Amino acid sequence: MEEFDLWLRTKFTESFWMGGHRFEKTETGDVQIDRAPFSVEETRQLFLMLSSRNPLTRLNATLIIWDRNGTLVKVLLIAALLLLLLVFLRIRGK
Amino acid sequence: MYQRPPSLLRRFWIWILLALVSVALVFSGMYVWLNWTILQVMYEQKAGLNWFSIVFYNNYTFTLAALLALLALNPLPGRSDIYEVWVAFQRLIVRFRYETPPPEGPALSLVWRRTVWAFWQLLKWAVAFGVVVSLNGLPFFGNITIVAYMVLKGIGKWSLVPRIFALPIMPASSSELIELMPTMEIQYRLLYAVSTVFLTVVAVRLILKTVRDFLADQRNTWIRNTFLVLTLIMLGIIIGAPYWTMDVTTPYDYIICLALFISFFATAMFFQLGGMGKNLSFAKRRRMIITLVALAIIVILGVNGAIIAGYRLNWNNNWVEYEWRPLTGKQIAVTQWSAGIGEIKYFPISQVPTGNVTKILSLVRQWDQAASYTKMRGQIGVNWMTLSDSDIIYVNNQEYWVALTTVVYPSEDWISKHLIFTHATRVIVVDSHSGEFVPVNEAFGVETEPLIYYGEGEGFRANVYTGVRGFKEIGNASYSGQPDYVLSGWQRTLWFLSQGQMGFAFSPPQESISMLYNREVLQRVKSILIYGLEVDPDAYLVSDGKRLYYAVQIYIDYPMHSGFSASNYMRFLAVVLVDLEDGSLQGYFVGASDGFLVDFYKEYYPTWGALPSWLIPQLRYPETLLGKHETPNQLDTDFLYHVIDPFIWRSGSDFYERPAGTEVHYILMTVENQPHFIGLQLVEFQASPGRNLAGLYVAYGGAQLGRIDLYGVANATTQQLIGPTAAVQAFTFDEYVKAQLTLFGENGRTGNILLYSIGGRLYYFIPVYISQAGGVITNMAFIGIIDATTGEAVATGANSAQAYYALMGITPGPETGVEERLNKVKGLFTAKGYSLVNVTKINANVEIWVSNVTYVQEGQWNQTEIVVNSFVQNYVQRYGNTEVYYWKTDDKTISFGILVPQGGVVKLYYISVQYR
Repeated sequence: MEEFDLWLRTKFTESFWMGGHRFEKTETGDVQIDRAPFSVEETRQLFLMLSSRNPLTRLNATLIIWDRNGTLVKVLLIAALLLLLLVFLRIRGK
Repeated sequence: MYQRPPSLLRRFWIWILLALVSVALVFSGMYVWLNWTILQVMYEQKAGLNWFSIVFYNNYTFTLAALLALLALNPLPGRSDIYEVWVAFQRLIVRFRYETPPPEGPALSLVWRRTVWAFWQLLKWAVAFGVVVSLNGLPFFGNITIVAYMVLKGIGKWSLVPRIFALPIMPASSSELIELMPTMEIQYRLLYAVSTVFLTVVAVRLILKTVRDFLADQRNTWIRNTFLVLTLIMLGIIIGAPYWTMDVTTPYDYIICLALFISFFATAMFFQLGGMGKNLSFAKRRRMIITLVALAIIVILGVNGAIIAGYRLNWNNNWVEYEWRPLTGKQIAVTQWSAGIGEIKYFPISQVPTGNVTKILSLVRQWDQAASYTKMRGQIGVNWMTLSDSDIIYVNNQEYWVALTTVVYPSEDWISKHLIFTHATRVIVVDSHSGEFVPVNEAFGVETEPLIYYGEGEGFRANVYTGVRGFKEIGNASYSGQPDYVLSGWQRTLWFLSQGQMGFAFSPPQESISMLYNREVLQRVKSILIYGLEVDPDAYLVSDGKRLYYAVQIYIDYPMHSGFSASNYMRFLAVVLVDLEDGSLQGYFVGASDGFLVDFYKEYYPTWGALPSWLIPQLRYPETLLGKHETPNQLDTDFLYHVIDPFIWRSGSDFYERPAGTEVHYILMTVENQPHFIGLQLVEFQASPGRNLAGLYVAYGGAQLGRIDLYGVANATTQQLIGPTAAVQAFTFDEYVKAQLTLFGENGRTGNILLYSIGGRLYYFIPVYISQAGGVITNMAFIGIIDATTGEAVATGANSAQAYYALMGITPGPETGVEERLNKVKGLFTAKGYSLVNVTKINANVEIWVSNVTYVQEGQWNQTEIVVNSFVQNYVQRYGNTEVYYWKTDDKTISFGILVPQGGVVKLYYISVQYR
């Protein structure tokens, strides 16, 4: 966490990867995670969640990021349509 | 500069166009109204039925349509989803064109907007009303009006609806499924159709809103709406689940659908409530709940999917448990019930009824339809009539081929079609055994051959006008019955205007013109039938001894939607008799009460009654209901669904098929020496290389109408019988037959393949006919007989008796001698208590030769008996004579007659029997 705070405080802007997510600072001082904008406080919370040993908390963090950057909508829509298609195929002969 | 004012046409073209359209609409509306009035009056007078009430379900067509059309209305006053999409689209275009949006134009006033909205809703309602009325229901859902009407009549039970809804997770037994079927097709069907259409309307509105929001870039709203649409789709699937075919995996499929329904709805709510939350600190608890719910749903989907996959992997080694018991076994029971084949009785083929050899041989149907039809063609004699169709009938204990004539117009002009060729005149009857022509009065017991104003075929499609001054019907005939409708006044003007007959419209030869309308008998009956009722296209003649009627058979063919029913609901319902001469109709119910559709239709046609006793012996089971190659029906269903053993079903070793070139043949079968009029369908094993006979279906007519027996080969490996296909091969490969057919060339052909049981053994009879292509003369060259057990023994003869005795290698018993034959004929009178008086000479003012018959061999006794009995019944009994005179007409012939004084004139009615 100290390293993360240090990264936040310094002018060093190079991005880093954490739990499969890319953290990068913007010129306004906010942070983008997987191109989704978050405030510094939210970023800190997300960093903590991604560092957690609880897989549910890590999944939660991923969902928050996906929700913010629009991936969640795409995933849900594609999954829903695929499932609907599977149901149609299954009940077609019934 | 002078400018010419625009012409009137250019100035008022829109009004002129509108006026023309209005006139056309009013004219066509009045024409439809007039047609409906004619139908209403005609069926009221000639059938005692209220046509309008029948075809429009006592006006429920309109009431239901008015209610269902409300679904098209937007429930939010002043709002229109289509208009809002259009506005969003326009704004998008504007945004692309201009950097800053142009100032908006003045908005319409509130009153004007409301008026336009109200008009738009009214228009939508009217269109939806028209669509629902024309379909008598909702698109893709069939006829809903009849379903709603049955609900009102109390068919089916509302209390069973929850049980039906729970079917996917609480499977029912076969008997319970059968009990649930009426409710599933009525109450649940109504709920399913209305709710699905309602869901569809809501989904369409949501899609329109989604498009609008998408164009307006309101992100979460369109995502929410998309998931709401998916939710509605899943809900529709769940409501339709009771109609699925259900095996052991169905409950898991259903749970998956429920899980998806919940998850789609939850996702819609998720986006409605702003996703994960803008501020993470406030969304922590919600996040956890959402994640846990999502995981739970994924687990439910995964577990159920895994269970289904597990079942599928083990399907074949548990087939009985996984598929047969939950699905196929029940499907067989329900299908047998719905197809009306549950009452078919199975017997081993060794028990095919049989009787006296001579009797059976004298009843063999030696003349098939095509041969008798060819023969009949030569009997017409004029250029304005042709044969309509020939049908096999059974009347007065005798089987005949009968063909009625229909009109062919030598001249196609309007006067010929509508005023001159108003009727046909000939009914041609041929004995199906001997191929001899039989007079109509002898066959049916009627006094005269009727004038046929109502019949089958194109010749009866045109409406005709009778008793019109200045015109004569063909043959100087004059229609004496009640007209179907009398056109007068403005109705006559409108009617003949629509016919393009200005003269008849405005200066007719008389004020009132009688019309015979809708004369084609099948169409005449179809016009009063509602959804689920079909007519058998083979209408046939029946008679009560006074008049001739077309018997049009009506059967139920109602779609069943359950996956457990592999057949429509099929039942023989009724017979409608149409009088050939005056077109009056009377229906009689045949079908037994079933607590479902038969009862409903019986209540729907209250003027139809029970079968009269004279009609019962003449009835047969409808051919189309039994099934044909092109229209599979009851028997075709039974070909598969008679199997109730899982392994025989799985192996397909006892499935039947209708052999090529065979169909249901109506023949006389001898049961305990009594002839029964039956429909016979031979069947072979499905895809059998050996073309073996698998069995025969016997559909009884007459007093046992509705009884169907299947005589099956119990063990095909030990009891082999050749099938009809193989029988024809064996017959045509016989040396003598082959030589004869080669000799006849194109003029020779084999006839029907018929199976008879003689002395407990089955034999095929195949006649061979000679006729010239397009000719009117045909002869039966010989008839062949093939032993069905071996297929090797083939013999031929001039008739069925000769062929049989040739096959047996025995000489037929001595023919009855001349004196014995004469005594047998006389015995027909004396046995009934009449005194026979031998006279040398007899005188009368008028001599009426009723009939003649030939009895020179025993095979002709059956026909002789019928002719004599018919004479006794229709003349001797009728006129109350106790003495019958007989005299020898020549060396070979004897005549029997009675003297009847009528109005100062003595009439001699007599028949002649050639006995030598």
